[in-house]
Amino acid sequence: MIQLNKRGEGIMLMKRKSLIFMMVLALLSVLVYPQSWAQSIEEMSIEEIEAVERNSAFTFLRDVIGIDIEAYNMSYKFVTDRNSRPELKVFPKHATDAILLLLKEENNVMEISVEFVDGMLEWFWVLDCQGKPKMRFQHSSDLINDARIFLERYEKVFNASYCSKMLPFLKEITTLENSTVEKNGLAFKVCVDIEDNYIGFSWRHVVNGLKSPSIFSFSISTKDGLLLHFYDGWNLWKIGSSEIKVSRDEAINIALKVAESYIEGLGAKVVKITATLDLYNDEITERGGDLFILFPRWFIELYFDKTYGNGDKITGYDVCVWADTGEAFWHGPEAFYSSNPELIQNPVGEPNIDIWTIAALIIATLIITLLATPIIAEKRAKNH
Amino acid sequence: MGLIVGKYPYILVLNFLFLSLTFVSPALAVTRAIYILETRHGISDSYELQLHQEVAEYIKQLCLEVGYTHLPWYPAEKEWYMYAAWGGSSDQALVWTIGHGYYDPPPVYGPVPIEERYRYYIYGDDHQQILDSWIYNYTVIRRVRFVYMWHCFQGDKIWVSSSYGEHGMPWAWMHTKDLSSNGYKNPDNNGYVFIGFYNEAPYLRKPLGGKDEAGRNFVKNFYYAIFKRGYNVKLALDHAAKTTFNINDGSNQFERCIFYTGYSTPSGTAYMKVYGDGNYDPT
Repeated sequence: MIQLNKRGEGIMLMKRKSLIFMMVLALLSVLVYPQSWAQSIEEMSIEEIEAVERNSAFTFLRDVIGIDIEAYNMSYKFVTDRNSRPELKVFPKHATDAILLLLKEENNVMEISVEFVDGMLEWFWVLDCQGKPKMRFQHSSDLINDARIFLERYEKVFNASYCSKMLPFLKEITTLENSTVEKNGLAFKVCVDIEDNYIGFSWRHVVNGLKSPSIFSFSISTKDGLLLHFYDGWNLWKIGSSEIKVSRDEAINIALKVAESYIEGLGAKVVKITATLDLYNDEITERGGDLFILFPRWFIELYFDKTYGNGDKITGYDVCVWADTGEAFWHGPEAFYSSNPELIQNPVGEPNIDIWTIAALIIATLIITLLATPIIAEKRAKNH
Repeated sequence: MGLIVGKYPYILVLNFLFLSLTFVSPALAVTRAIYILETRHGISDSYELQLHQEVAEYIKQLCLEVGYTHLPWYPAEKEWYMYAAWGGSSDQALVWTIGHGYYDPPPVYGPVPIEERYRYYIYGDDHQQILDSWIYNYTVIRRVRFVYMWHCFQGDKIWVSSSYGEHGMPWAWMHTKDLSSNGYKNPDNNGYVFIGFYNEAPYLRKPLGGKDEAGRNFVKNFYYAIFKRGYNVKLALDHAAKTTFNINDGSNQFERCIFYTGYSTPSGTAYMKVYGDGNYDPT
């Protein structure tokens, strides 16, 4: 943790060289837009990346959300998986960093996480908020207007020109209620969560009627207008293919063929089949070389007539088929962590409570003590 | 005896050390530990077992980075469960355990309604039964703060009383029945949390919520958030739900993922249940 003081922001704690470096970066944060750093970020040291992303996080908090960070005592932790082995990364082949901020001012406390993927601001999250947030901008009572202003500010400060594709959706909303609109290849959703007091806005890609995961979203507290979360995956998610060349029946036939030997081995009978078409990012084989690339997929579930397995509870078989190529890229049994009922043995009474083992060990210790004492005493007497 | 001890006080110390070593030798001088208990009893799927190991290794690597002692045990025999329940010599212990789970009365003629289930157990790799009430005997010091049981049924109920006595895995591990029934939405702030499954737990490889190997990814993302980010259990569940299922919008992602909303199993709809204090921060 680096301690940052009120207004001083930790500058006093840094050496002169670092200070100059920081000032240059601060200047860059105004002149050059933070998202463009991603291009050169791979050449930087971890310390440089930390400085760049910290500035980016501060810019986002101060100039986009409007949190008066100077009014708080601030500390932060930088977490990165850049040096981790691929299997220990959040997203293999991608670098994920997080700036975890603690903002304190008397009884007002905010805990915030700002996350970056490959140096691009991806996720902002208010982890905890106690008291009243100190804000630079006054929020209006019109949450839709606040949402528009937020998006415009983000577009301007972070040079996120793609926001212009999302702004028209916000401009069309007139009332705060759950709604979904689809146009220009985007699906826009407004979600009013009364229980948790927030309103959420999200956008997804739509191709051939198939929707991607949310590629851009944010939510605002209905209590005080504070931005609670923000996600920008616009530049991360890609559509690898949208062609549906494999029909539902063809996909089912492929699945049955793939599962044939397994089903025969069990002696099972398929009594029900479901097939779902979606846009899928394959995290295991990373089709297209990246887990953020989406392809159309048939997900086939074959349900058995009863539960099978020698110890496992196997109820069916699942097969994933690419809808554009017809390749079955994943398959396996549908199983649960509970044995087949016929194989469960009825427990025979309560097990022996090992309190007796403990008692035996205590007695053994005491016996050793009693036996050892005279020997030690004798030795001592000899020494004296 | 008193005379002996008075004359040779170091004998008392030696006694103490001997007794301590008997129970806590592998984790001597450890203040925080995670006990990884991977039970393969009754699992024939080789790929699933491969994922067991992968997840155990992942948790081990992560906890090493933050100074947790890890004790990954395979085969996870009954005595290791006793050791884990005791909490070793650590001040705070976490437990990750995976394998088959059972309840009484045995569901010979199909699933037994949840109201009629009265006693819960798993098996160690030495084929010995590990009953909830047996675990309870060893959690008296309450060093175990967080247990994540990836077994069927072990999160059915916090506690149940029957003619066979008191039962329930959350009660057994946390050594109390005073646990919030929804530690995610309403944490009780008592510093003890149990995660388990109501009805069947899925295989780690099973596709759920549109994701292959949903369990594997969820658990890995959960422990990443705990150990790397230092999140509390609730936030780590949200992080895991966001990252695993691409729930990139709104708040409370866990509440909107399939483990919370439920999925179909032979015994009915199953859920991942969080009991106790979701605000508990292991790091």
